[in-house]
Amino acid sequence: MLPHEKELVERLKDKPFALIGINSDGDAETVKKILAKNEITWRNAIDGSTGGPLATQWNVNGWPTIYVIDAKGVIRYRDVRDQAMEDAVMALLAEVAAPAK
Amino acid sequence: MLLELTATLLALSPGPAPQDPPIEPAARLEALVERFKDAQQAFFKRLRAAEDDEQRTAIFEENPGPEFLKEFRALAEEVEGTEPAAGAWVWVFRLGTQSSSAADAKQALETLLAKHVESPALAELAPELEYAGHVVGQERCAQALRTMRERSPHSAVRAGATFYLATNLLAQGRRSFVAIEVGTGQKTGGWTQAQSSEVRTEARKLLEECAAQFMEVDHPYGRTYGQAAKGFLFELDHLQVGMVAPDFECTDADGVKFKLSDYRGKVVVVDFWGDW
Repeated sequence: MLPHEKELVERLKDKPFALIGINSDGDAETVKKILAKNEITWRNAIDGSTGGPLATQWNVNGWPTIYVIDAKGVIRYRDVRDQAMEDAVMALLAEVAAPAK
Repeated sequence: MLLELTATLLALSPGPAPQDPPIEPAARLEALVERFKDAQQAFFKRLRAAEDDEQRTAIFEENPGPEFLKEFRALAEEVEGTEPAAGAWVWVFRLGTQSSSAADAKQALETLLAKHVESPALAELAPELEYAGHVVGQERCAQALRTMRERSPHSAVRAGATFYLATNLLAQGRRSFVAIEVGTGQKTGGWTQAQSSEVRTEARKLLEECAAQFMEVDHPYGRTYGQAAKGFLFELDHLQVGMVAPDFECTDADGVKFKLSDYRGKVVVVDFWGDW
């Protein structure tokens, strides 16, 4: 999961794409160490715990939980991982490049 | 749990004490639970200390669950007809589910429904039914929860049965969509607004009932059943494929605030994760 995410973020760095982590491990200091250890470069929100405010609002009961959102802010895919996640992202990037009529 | 057991113990205390009082079923169950928890803690500790997969695999063989399952079943059978038997059968179901022992889990479930449907111990059975589908079947879990909802006199049991029946139905509904291929431009990987089925309508009704009636009943994983139900209703109303993602504001690891809506114009993957 993580290696594929890293590869995808690196490959799409010039595209209109962002991976946002919502991390449940603890405070900013804790998360910084974890990001450094795992060599994670993308932005991470500090949610504090599995009962954090974002996880609670989005009713997250399992980790990881993944949402893929298009350029208009619409949820288009849920819980796609690895190649399926990449396929989803590439399909949505294609829409940005050539908007549907 | 402890309070309940103590209360049961008091209720079952005999009148005149015999010379060598037999140990009460409730006390025996409580002692067995304590012993199991100690054994399980020691097991997890060894597992955490393992240095590689080989060691972990070896330690897995020492999982105390299967042995304790036998003890819980023996106790349940011996004291059948008493309230602690229900508590012991819940443990048989729990450990049977964890070790994928379908025969034990099924026996425990059928016994609980046939002989203990009015027991308060069923409050602990409801959450166990969430992950028991692979062992006793998702349909059977749903039926069991329906029975508990209809027949239990205890609000804690009805709250759990109502909530987990809803999540069970949602899981059944979700499973039927995930097979659709990604990459064809089709919406997939979750529910769409158009995929509202009978099952989802019923799940929503159950969640609304739960939010209305069980706001004060504690959920085993924190919060209350009512609050947990509201979380699922929010998900149904705002987090489905095809809906505009609800905005949120948060702080990143560098202390910088940002919003999801800052990313309009970009394709965004939101990944709720933890390093565990």
